[in-house]
Amino acid sequence: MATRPKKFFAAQDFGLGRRRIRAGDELSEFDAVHVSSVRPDLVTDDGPKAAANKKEEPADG
Amino acid sequence: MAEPYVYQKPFVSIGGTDYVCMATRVALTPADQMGDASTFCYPGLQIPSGLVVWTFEVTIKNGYGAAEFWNAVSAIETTKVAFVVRPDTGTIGVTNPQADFNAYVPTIPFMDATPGGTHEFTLSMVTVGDPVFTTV
Repeated sequence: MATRPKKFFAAQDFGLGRRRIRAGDELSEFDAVHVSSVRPDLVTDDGPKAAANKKEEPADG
Repeated sequence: MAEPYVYQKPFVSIGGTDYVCMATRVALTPADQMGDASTFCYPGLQIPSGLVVWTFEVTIKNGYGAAEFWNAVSAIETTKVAFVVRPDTGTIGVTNPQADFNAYVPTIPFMDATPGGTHEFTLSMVTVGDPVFTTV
C-alpha cells in the first residue's frame, strides 16, 4: 500500500525572505527542510493546531 | 507613525556566540535578481525575476583569546553555521524582529597592525537560502 508523503505546516506566522508565511500554511518540502535547518520550532506536522496560532490581520484604515 | 529606529546594541550571533562587542556594523540586505525586459518600447527595462540574494555583512574589530573573535571564528572558517541577528539584544518582538539564517563563514584575516591601532575588517557572505524573520 502506498504511503502518503508527510505534510508540514508553519507553526506560527513568520517571514521567509520577502514572503509572509501564516500559521497553518502548508509548506513545500523544500521550504520545510530549509526552515527546519534554521528554526525547527517553526515547522510542525500538526496542521489544525498550527492554524489555531494564526494571528488576526490588522484592519486596514 | 514612530520615528526611525536608532541602533544602540544589536544582537549578532555567529555559531551560537554573540559578537556584538567586537562589531561596528551589522547588515543583512537583499538584492533582487533582475531580468532583462528591454524592448524597443521599454528600452533598458529590468523586471525583478523573483530570485533574491541576501547578503550578510559584519564589520569586526579583531581580538585574540580563548573566547575572542579570531580564535573562535577561525575554527569554523569555510563551514556552514547558524547566524542570528536582531536590531537589539533584548527579546524578540514586533519592534525587535529576529533574522535566522545559515551562511558559510569565510576565511578571516589574521592581523593588520599599525602603531596603536586596531584591526577592523568586514566579512561578507551570502545566506544559504532566505532568512527566516520572526517577531515572537
